[in-house]
Amino acid sequence: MLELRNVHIGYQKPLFNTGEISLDKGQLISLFGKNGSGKSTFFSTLLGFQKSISGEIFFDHLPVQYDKRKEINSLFSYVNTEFKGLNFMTVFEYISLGRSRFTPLLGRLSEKDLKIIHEKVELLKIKHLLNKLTSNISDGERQLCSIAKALVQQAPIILLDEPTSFLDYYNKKLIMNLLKTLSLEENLLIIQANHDVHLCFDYSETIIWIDTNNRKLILENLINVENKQLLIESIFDFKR
Amino acid sequence: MKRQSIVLLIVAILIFFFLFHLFYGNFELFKSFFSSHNYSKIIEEKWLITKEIRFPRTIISVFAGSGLAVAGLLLQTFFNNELAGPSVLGITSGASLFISLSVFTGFTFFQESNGLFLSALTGSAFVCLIILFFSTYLKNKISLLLLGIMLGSFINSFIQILEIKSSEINIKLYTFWGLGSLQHFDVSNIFMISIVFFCCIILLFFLIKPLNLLLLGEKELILNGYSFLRIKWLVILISSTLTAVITAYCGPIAFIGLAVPNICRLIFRTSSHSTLLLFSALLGSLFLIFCDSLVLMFENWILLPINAITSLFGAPIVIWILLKKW
Repeated sequence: MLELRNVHIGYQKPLFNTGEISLDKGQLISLFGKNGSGKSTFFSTLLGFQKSISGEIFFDHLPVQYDKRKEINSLFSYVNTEFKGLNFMTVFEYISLGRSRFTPLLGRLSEKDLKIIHEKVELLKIKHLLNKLTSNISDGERQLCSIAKALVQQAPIILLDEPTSFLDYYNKKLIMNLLKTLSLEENLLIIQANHDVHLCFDYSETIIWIDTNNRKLILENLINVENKQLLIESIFDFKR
Repeated sequence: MKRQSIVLLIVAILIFFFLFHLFYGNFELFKSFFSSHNYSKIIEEKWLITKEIRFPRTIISVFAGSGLAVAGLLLQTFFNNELAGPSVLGITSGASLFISLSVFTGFTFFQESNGLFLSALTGSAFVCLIILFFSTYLKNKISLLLLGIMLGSFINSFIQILEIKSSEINIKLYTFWGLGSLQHFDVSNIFMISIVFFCCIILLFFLIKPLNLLLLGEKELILNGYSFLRIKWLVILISSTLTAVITAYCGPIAFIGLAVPNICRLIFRTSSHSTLLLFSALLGSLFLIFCDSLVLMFENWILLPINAITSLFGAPIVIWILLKKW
């Protein structure tokens, strides 16, 4: 369970305050917010790239120690959704980089590493891609590889920044479906930032959104929301 | 299986050219290995010549080729640019400037026996720092290359001005050095260059994993607990040291650092630096020893400068890479 206790997110000026929010494992949570509201900053803060201004972050009732990189790595894995592929980097090499925190000095993969990589590859059904070059596969396939790379890191929380932005409708649904299944079957907490509200409403039961007017992070359970159109209008601040 | 046969092939060719280069013109020495009655005066003299003159030349070909290729690979990964290299980015020119300063003005920055190397190191590190400083402001891959080329010609113009003001004998000395020459390398320098290479190899072991991660960007490196700053200094230190030591002893040799890592990527279809570093080093020494073997073979008719040969083979390879990519 990830708990945010009054974390002030931002650089010098606070962008927003998370308030008291706790997020359970085993669910896919969508993060919304208008452009520039601080979604990426929120992720950066969770990943320890940037210090929070105040407040504390807890995982399973223990404070996350942000001065220890190893601990952050064992809790969060980040899906690089902007990966465009590299000439001469195979899919296998790319996914195995996700095991970096386990591998020794020269980066040699152990039996266990290989086993886990193959396990996750089977799970995502991308075995046929393993020997292809990351620059030669489609955007949708590459997104799957990025998710596989995050999975082999074996962290309980996965963060994705706009995972569906460059994909066609079929791939969008595929990715969202996959994230949903993964969160349930692997008992992961998956937080994804996305602008496609209608798509996300189909897959997330819980959403969090950044209220820029009140500078707050608001958690909403979609079952309790009667007028979704009204919610969308307030998320994207239609009266701005 | 396929990869292993390529490896064996490369090693076999390298050994062949190593022996060819070492014994070229004196093949009877090679035979004398296997026969017992070999104590003639001529043979003994030839052994001495091979040991004192040819052996250092063969050794420096191996060192220089591998060093430049590794320096090129490091720069390519670090700047995320497959066309980067010590000569393209002007690092070689930086080393040349400081060497020409000591040759032309007689003013040496360091008084030790290896003063030339330390002068070159100052120059190459200086250019590395300039490139690094500007690279943070450049978002485009092409502009970085252009910056390097501009920096190179900027520095070369200084060298030309120095040339005008210096004596005839110094100009001759410098021009020969500038054409690249493996034959001026002396046995006494082997110890020095071995130590430098040994230190670099040790440091490279610590770089393999970070370099692989760096391919995916700075963020990935930090996420895995590496300090970007530390990796940056290590890359700059190793690549400028290798470039400097080679430029000091052999002159500015072009194209190896640029072409060889790309050939490696094409052959092995990988981006893993444990493979790329090893085979860039092997292929780099193979490339240079092959080029210098050509120099040896034509020596009776014409003294070819090594730089001309490496460019002759290197430039078409680079053009081919360009055509394949863009």
